[in-house]
Formats: sequence, C-alpha cells, structure tokens
Amino acid sequence: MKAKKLLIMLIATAGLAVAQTDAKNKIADQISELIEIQDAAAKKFMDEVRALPREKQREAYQKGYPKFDDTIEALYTLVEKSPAEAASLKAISWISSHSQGKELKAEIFSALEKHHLDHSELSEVILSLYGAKGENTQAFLSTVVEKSKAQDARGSALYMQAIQIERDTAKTARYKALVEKLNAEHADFEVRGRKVGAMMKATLEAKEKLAIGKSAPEIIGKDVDGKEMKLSDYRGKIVVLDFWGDW
Amino acid sequence: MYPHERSLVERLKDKPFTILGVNSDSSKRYKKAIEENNITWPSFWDGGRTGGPIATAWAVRGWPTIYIIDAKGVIRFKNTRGKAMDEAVDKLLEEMKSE
Repeated sequence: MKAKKLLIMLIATAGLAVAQTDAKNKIADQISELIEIQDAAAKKFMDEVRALPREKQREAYQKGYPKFDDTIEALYTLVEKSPAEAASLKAISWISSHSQGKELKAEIFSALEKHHLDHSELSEVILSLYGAKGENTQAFLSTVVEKSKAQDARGSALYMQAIQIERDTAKTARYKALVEKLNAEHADFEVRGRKVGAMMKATLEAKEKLAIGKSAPEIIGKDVDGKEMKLSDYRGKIVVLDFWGDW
Repeated sequence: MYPHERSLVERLKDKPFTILGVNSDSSKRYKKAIEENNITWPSFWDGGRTGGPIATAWAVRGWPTIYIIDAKGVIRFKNTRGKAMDEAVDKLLEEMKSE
C-alpha cells in the first residue's frame, strides 16, 4: 500500500517536472515567435518605405510603422510568468528597445536584479535603456555597477549612465567622472566592436579644446574642387563655422 | 537655414565677416545643394561623409553644428542660430569697432 502510494507520488512528481520544463520551453518559444513576427513585419515595412521616393519616405514612416504595443504587452505577460528564464532577458531587451524612452515596469527591474544580475547577457538589456532616464532605470543601473559580478554588465551600466547625460551640460562633472571610471575599470569594454571608453575620452578632450574662449584649432582642408583652404586664412574676420549637410 | 544665412551674408557683405562651411555631403550632392540654394560662401568639403576628418577633430555629432569665431580666432559662441546668430555676429562687429 505504502509502496503504491510512493510510486504514484513519484510519477506525479516526474510528471510535474516534465510539465514545468515544457512550460518553460513553451514560454521561450512564445517569446521568440512574438519577436520574430513583429520584427518581420517591421522589416517588410521598412523595405517598402525604402522603395519609395526619398521625399515620401518620412511621411510613410510616420504614418505606417507597424504597431507593437500589443507585442510589448504580450511579452510583459510572458516575462511576468517566468522572470528567471534566459528567454525573458531577450524579451526585456526587445521591450526596452521598442519603448521609445518609456521606462520599463518596476517589477521588471526587480526581476532583473533578482534573477539576472550576474548574467553577462544582461548587457544587452542595459544597452537598450538609452532613452529611459527615469528613477527606476537610474537605480537599476547603479545596482548593476555596484553589485553585478558580470564584468560586461557593469561596463554596460557605467557606459549607459554616461551616455544618458552626455549632452546635459549641467552634469559635465559627473559625465567626466563616469568616463574616467569606464576607462580605468573597463578599458576593453566594447559596444559593436568599438572601445567606447577610449572614444568618449577622446571626444571629451576634443570638446575641452573647443570650449568658448579657447583658440579655434586650425583647420587645413580642401574645397570640393580640391583647392586647399585654411581656417586661419580668415583671421581678421568673424567666422560662422557651419558644419552642414544637405539632408 | 539657407535663406537666413543668405540674408546674413547679404546684410554683412561689406563687413569683416564670412560664413565658412564644413560640408559632409557627397561631392555630387554638395555641388547640387550649392547651385539650388544659391550658396555663395566657401566650404571645406569633408570627404563626403559625416565621419570626415574635420567633423571628427571638432567632435561634431549633430548637424548643423555652429561655432562663431571672432576676428582673433577665439571661439565665442556655439550652436547659436537664427536671430541669436545675427545678434552674436553684431556684438563681435561692435567689439572690433571699439578696439
């Protein structure tokens, strides 16, 4: 009698484990499928827009870009069901890069901190946070910088903290400190194959040379017909130096 | 922006003033823009791309970017546009007179 009961329990437990794995796989599949469908629609749309004459492109783009709110909601639901899943990270990256600056839901940040803080794949989520500058995003980035055991995740968070304020002239001192730290601790950190710390430092130094009150660095270049020109040829005149393009 | 720049150049044609462009278009597109918009002021041509050597040295990330440089070669204003650009240039012209 006892043995029979145990057997039933064993079978039930095994069954439950299988069911759980199935459910997990199913969620990963559902996440992939949702993203694939939406990305395919966006690609098809963009191909169509690119085929239009140039002056019609912007209008068509603004009017007709495939709506993705429903996909975002569906992905949120799946992530909430299974926050610890690796596939959830993929879903969160996608949500974030399609949220147009809107902050991720607070519970998403908790899930990331609880289940994914030390995963190097967290990087991808962090690099999609550019437009989101709210409090929760800031707190999350600080947590990653302070506590994550994944080098790339910390590097990404530091990089993101910096580029979010790069253009904010009131935060120049903090920006400089972040770039310094990025260079000191993550000299090899790359985004799309580029060592961003070194690039940001170079830009910062260039900007300091180009501050109001500094002598304009000489420009030696050519006009479109190949004739040499120099900025200093215009010394004695007020110069409006205009970086322009006809686009 | 072309009409504003044209009127500025026209208004200050007898003054120690110039617009000096740094253009990031392809040479074909640049030549077309000059012709169609009656651009009379000189421009460096930055190799046909936004990542050209001059734009890179000047850390330009957005276009247009404007620097106003006084007669001594000192950077005095950044990204001053429209009416403010006129006022800035007028201020620098006044300074030259009083020196």
